[in-house]
Amino acid sequence: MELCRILGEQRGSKTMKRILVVDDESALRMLISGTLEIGNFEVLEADNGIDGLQLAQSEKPDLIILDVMMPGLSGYEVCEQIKSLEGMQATKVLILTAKGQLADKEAALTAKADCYVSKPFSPMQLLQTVEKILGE
Amino acid sequence: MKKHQIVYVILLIILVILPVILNGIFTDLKNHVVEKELSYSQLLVYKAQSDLEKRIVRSKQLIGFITSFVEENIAGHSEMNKRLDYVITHLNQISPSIFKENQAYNSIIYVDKEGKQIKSTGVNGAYLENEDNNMKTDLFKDILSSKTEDVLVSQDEDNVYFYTSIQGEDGQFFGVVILSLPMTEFIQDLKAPEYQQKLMLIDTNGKSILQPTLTQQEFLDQFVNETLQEIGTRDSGYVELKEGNLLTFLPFTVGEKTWILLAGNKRDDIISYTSDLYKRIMVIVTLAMASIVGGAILWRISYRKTVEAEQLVLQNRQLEQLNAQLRQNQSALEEEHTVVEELNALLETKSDQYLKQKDTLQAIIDSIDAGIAMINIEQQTIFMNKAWRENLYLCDCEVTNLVMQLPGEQLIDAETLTQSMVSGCQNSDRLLEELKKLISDFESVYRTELKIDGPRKKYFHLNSIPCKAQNGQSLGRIYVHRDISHEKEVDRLKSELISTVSHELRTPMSSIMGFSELLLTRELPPERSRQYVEIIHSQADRLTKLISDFLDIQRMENGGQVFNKQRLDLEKVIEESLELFGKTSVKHDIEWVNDCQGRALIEYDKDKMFQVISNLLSNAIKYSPSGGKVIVRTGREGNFVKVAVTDKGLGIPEEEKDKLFTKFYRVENDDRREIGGTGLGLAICKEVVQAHGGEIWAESIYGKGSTFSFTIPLCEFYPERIGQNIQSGVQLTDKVILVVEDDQSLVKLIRDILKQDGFETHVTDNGEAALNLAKQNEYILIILDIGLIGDLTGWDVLKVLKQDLQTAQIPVIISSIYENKERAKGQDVRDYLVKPFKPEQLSILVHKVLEEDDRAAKMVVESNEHTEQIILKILQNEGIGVKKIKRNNDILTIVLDGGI
Repeated sequence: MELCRILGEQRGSKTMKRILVVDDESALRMLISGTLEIGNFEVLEADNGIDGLQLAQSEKPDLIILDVMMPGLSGYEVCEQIKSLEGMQATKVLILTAKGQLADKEAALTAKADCYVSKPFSPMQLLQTVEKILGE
Repeated sequence: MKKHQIVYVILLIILVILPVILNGIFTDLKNHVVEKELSYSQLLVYKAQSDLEKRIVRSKQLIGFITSFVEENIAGHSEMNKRLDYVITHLNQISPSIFKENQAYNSIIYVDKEGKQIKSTGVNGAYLENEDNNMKTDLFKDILSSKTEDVLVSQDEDNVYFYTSIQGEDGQFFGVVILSLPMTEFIQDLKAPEYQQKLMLIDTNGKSILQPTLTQQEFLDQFVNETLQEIGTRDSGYVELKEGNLLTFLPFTVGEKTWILLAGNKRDDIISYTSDLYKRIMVIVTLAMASIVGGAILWRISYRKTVEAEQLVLQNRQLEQLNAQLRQNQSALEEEHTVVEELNALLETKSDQYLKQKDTLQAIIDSIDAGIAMINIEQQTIFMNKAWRENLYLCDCEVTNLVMQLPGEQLIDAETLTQSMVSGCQNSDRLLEELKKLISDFESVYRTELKIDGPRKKYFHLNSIPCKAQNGQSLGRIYVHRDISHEKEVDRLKSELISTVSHELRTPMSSIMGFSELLLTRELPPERSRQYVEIIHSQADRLTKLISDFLDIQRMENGGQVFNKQRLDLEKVIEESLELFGKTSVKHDIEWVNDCQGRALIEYDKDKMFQVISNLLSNAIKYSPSGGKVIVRTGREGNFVKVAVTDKGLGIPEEEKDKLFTKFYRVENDDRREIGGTGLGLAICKEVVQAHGGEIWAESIYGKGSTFSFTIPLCEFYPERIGQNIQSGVQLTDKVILVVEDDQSLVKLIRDILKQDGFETHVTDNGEAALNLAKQNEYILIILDIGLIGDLTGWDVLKVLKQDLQTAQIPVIISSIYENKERAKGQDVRDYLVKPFKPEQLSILVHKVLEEDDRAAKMVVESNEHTEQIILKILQNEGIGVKKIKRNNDILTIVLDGGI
């Protein structure tokens, strides 16, 4: 067990976990990527759902952070599509939205998102959440 | 026996006796008539007799006259013969009057005593002679035998003969004179009209002498057969023939023969006369009878009346007694009646009040915008108000005019009512099931929302409660059906607002908080820290803008916004907006098309107008996520300036268009939901545009793009030509520009633009031709294309132009697809027009060049061609460049290069 964990950590440190950030707001993308870089993650960015979906398929990131309100495809739709794709079910998805209502939480769960963070968020808490998801 | 009975008996007797009496009268009457008729007939036959006798008498007179003349003093036969001859010959002269009569006599004959015919005249004379001189002596034998002096009459079939003897004074018998009258002549008088139809004449053998009519023949036949034998020829009288016909007869003797004169009365005539009379009498009698009987009846009636009247008087007395009693009763009743009437009036007032109350209630219920219907416990719909029928589209059915129904009068059955409630609803099956259960349930309360799909979605709230009387008895069920579409819409807008505001606020908040947290908690490289601070600043700015948007709309709506209006060019604000957005969007290509064709001045608040155009542009960019062209088009429309922003983006559904400019409204579309925005932009645009006296609207094809246009009233407008003139101050009259260009479409464009600016143009597409034209004409400007038809390029043309002193001074603009400044160096090219160019660009450039030219120093010298060269030489020696020389007769205008 111990060995496994160490090996895992070693492998993690060797190959940085990749996180795809999909948000149409450039400022927020910058904030999230800046935060994730602190946590030593490799960050990919997309400014809309369609590009995000393509990147997700081609780059196979470990985690996708999705904004809900985006032109074209919404975060939920992107999430749903990713989860329904062959070989992508294991990819973790974190939904990030400005909405904080119960309905949105339900929508996130319906879309089979792994986690839900509402704006405004603390970057460090987000980092912890991300590490927690990927740690598991 | 009573009086009237006696009268009846008398009447009866009269009725029985009357016919008998009448019959008697009638018989008498008939006899009387017969007598009258007979006497007339007798008169007739006697008259006929006298007529005939008159003839005989006359004839006798005539023959008597003849005889007396012959006989007077006669001596012997010879004498007599002479006299006779004379008479015969001169009969006319002797007595014309007799002779006239005598024309009817057809002959006079004289016969001697032996019976020999001695003399004759007329037809009968001849006839007598033909009998071998044997006279028809049998006719006259009595004369011959008796030798009487009397005149005798004899007759045969054809004639009547009158004869007498001629004797001497001594009684010597000489012979006989015969006068013959034709039978027809003899009976001539009987043919008079008075005898017609009536008179008949027969001989004793029954032979008719007068021609009888058919009826007469009948009479005659009867008479001859039945009567003639009996009566013989004895006397006169009348006989009644068979069938009651009457015949009057009278014998008449002519000579030896007897004739019978007859006159007939036909029975029918008699009877018709009498019956006519009879009828008249009968009518009179009947009338008399009728009046008698009528009188009797009237008498009887009056008698009866009298009896009845007596009885009535008696009864009347009794009735009066009763009446008195009744009057007493009536007054009692009247008292009661008054009470009843009072009660009635009270009831009527009450009823009026009730009706008024009912009407008021009805009006109240009808004025409620919620539909109300009721079903009773028999499951019948007994009530529905106006709103119910309207909401549930029951307007067309036959119950339209029935507002309030009395119990028992069913409008429609409960099931139909239930069905009408859910028609068009979502989940109508489930709802219908639930509602059907309610029909027989008078206890439970039911509430639901109905969503009606249709061209416009509608929401209704349906509330169903049991209806109970005060004593708790169940009366039925009441349904209240309320249109809550508006509330729903407000709800939707509210949640929309919350959602957008939260999004719009949280997004920049997230950045600000996140970056500031990073800055606070982490050691960061300085450039990154700066970057983060910049982001924080820009996001804070965004928040500020959002808040100011809120405040703006609030202020504008309250009329509190103050606009700082200035009279400015429209272009200015457009240019500024384009500058900002041209940089920010990479995906979008923003183009400005200005169709103003002049300078438009409008009064506007620059900041607010900038806000409007920026909002429209940012929307155009935001709602065409896949990029594309955004066109800003400005133009003049009457007294307005129109600005239109067109994108090729998502477009707007038709039904949403009118709501676009509503505050917080955002098109409900899944695609669009994810596009950020407060829903305030267009509302602010609308307020600003309206505050400037303009209008704003949207046109769109869903899925293809939208155009947002607004207008602002125009204050001043200068068409390009005049506008440019004022700016430049250049006198442009009679100025010709040479255009050297091979692209014909471009030529047209350039010509149009220059024409608008008041220039005349000469055009060629050939280098050589251009050079010739330049020498021949005086051009103020040459617009030169590089690629030309012919051997020379634009550069070649330019070179030749600049070498020739006459043309060297003409300013040249090179129009080309690229700006080759290197090549043009040292060639005195004034400016470059890079294709493609905007119309105004060309216009501005031309003016610019000419203006420069105009500002240059000028020298006006009086000179001829000879002195011109000297002046130019002097200038050259002095180091003064010469730009242009213009000769007008002896006045030379030299434009100097670079000033003095």
